Order: sequence, then C-alpha cells, then structure tokens
Amino acid sequence: MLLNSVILILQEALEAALLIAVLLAINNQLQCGRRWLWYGLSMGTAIAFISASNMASISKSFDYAGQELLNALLQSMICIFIAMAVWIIAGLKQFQLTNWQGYSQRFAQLCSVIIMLTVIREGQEIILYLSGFLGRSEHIQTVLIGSSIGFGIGASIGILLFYVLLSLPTGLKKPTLLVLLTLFAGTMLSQSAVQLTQADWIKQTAPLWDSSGLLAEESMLGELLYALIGYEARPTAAQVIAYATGIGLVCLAAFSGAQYKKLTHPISHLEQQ
Amino acid sequence: MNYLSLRCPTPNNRKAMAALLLGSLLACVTASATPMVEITIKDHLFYPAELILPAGSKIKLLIHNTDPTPEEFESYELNREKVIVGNSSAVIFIGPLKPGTYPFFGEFYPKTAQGKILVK
Repeated sequence: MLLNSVILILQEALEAALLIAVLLAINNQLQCGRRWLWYGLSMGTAIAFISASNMASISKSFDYAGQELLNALLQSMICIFIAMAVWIIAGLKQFQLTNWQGYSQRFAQLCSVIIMLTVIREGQEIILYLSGFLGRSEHIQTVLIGSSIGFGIGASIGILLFYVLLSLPTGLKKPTLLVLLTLFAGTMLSQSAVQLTQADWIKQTAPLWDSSGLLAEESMLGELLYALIGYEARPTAAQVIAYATGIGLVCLAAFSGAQYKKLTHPISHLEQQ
Repeated sequence: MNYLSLRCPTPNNRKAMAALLLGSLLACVTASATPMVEITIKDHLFYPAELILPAGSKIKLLIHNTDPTPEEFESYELNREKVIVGNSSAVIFIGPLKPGTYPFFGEFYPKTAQGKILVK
C-alpha cells in the first residue's frame, strides 16, 4: 500500500513538477516574479476538487465519454496556451523582457493558466485516489505517508531540473527551454488523442511501433521520459500526428512571434543581434 | 428558385438525402454492433479477471465499480487509463487488437486488482 501510493502520486506529480520547473526557469530569466505560480497552483487545486467531486456525473455525460472529453480539452488547451506563451518570448535575445509593453505580465498570466490546467488534470486523480481512503483508519496513515514521499520525490526531481536548466551555459539555455516546452505541447496533444481514441471519437488503429522491449513505459526511465517528452512505447498514428501537430503549432507560434517583433520593433533592445 | 428546390427536392437532392439517411442508419447499426463486454470490480478484484476476445474487432468495455472506493482501470499494453468512481460504471473502447495477451490492473489497488485480456 505504501509503495503503491508513492508510485501513484509520483507519476501524477512528476509531469506537473517538470512543467513547473521549465516555466520557472523561463520566468527566472524574464524576472516575472513567482506570484503566477501560486495563482496557478491554488486555482488548479480548487477546480480539481470541484471536478473530482463531480467525476461520477462528468463520466456519465456525453454517453460515458465525459471524462475523456474533459481530459482531452484540458490537454489541448495546455498545448494552445504553451504556443501562445512561446509566441510572446520568441525572438527575445536571451529572454530579456523587462515588462516590455506588458508582455512580461501577459507571459506570467499564461504560465498561470498552464499550471492551473495541469494541476486540474493531475490533481483530480490524486484527490480521487486519496478520497477512497478517507474514513478508513487502517490505511489512511500509510497512504498519506506514501503520498507525501511520492509528492516529495516528484517535487525534488522538478527542483533538480530547475537548477540543471539554470546552470546551463547561456547559449544553450534558451534553446533547451524552448525545446522542452515544445515537446511538452506535443505530449499534451498526443495524450488528448489517446483520450479521444479511448472514448471512440478517434478510430483505434494498430500501434505504429512497439518499443516496450527496448524501454518499457512502466520502467523508471520510461515514466520519466513519459513525463518529460511524452514517451510512449506503443503509439498509434493519431498520437504521432497529434504530437507532430503540437510541435508544429508551437514552432509556428515561435516563428510568427519572432517575425512580429522584428517587424514592429526593429531597433529595440529585444532585437536578436 | 432556391426556395422551390428546397421545398421540392430535385432527384439529385433526393439521392443525397437518401445517401445521408443510409449513412446515418449505417452509422447507427455499426455503433450498436460494437460488441460489449462487462467487467465488475468488487472488493478490489476484477470479475472476470480473464477475458477472451476476438482479434480484429472493436470492443466496448463496460466496467462496473461496485466498491464504494474509486478505482483506475489501467493497461500499458492497451494504452488505456480511466478512473471509475465508487458505485458507478464507465465505458472504455478497446481494439481492434492483434492476437496476444493484454494485462490490465487497477492502479489504485494493484496488488489485488489484476486481470488480462486474451485476444485470439
């Protein structure tokens, strides 16, 4: 019971922790403060409580596809908001953005929303899991200890990633952060394709490949890569297309954001060279 | 003229309407033809714990969680994951699948909640 709660909470917390680490590292460069993080976390937790307590009726809605549709919606929205955030920071030299024309504030707001959506998604599952043990004194203590350990490990990996990202050489920092954010957007859209397939809104096809022999998804590295870059051992065509679409969307946002800044502010301090 | 053509369908329109009707009928038939298999969760165990399903067809799994606690149906092999609240039911579509063994488990109580689908 203890080990199971450690693993379960770790799996859920890891994805959010890694995304928070990447967004924090970008915000650290932009000097946006950290208030956005607390807004996102608290709003996300509050909404996760509401959706978890209504999960029975959410699941039943849309002919029993409600849960999948909600998850797919949250995941697609995360992808779109990441693209919008990237649009703002694209074309900035080493992320220098000293609240230039309110962009910094808008970027922080977008980060807030991204964190909120992520916490709703992961949080509702944690809340449902823990709710099953409420009032059952024989297990609750073990489960709470296990969950705290799992949460702690997830948060530690996030903190570790944050410091690794900050310690990267200046020239590598920006591309690394942007690539991680872009892959995360792809992951989100790919996961929403899985949800829609599960609900039979997208036709199920045979997996394109099976790399579970090389790296099993349930292994530790598999789980870490799943959270970080959306590794799947048996992806379907829909998932791969969604992954590529998410990446394409963010690349498009990066390109148009950079072009916009070049056209509208050719001689500002935001110029690339 | 447009008004008239709307009121009195031309042969072309009629054909299109017939095709539409046939299409939606077919859709209904195929939708309802998806075979459904029921699984019950009781005392953190799956009943039946072993299912034999035909290869190459889509299956609708209707899972009843009769426990008061939530459970999460999960399978890496099937690429499926869904929370089922206590005393409620959920639907998961799987397949078409190739022959083989597809284990599944309850992520919230994995020690006891174990099962597998044999596709033949």
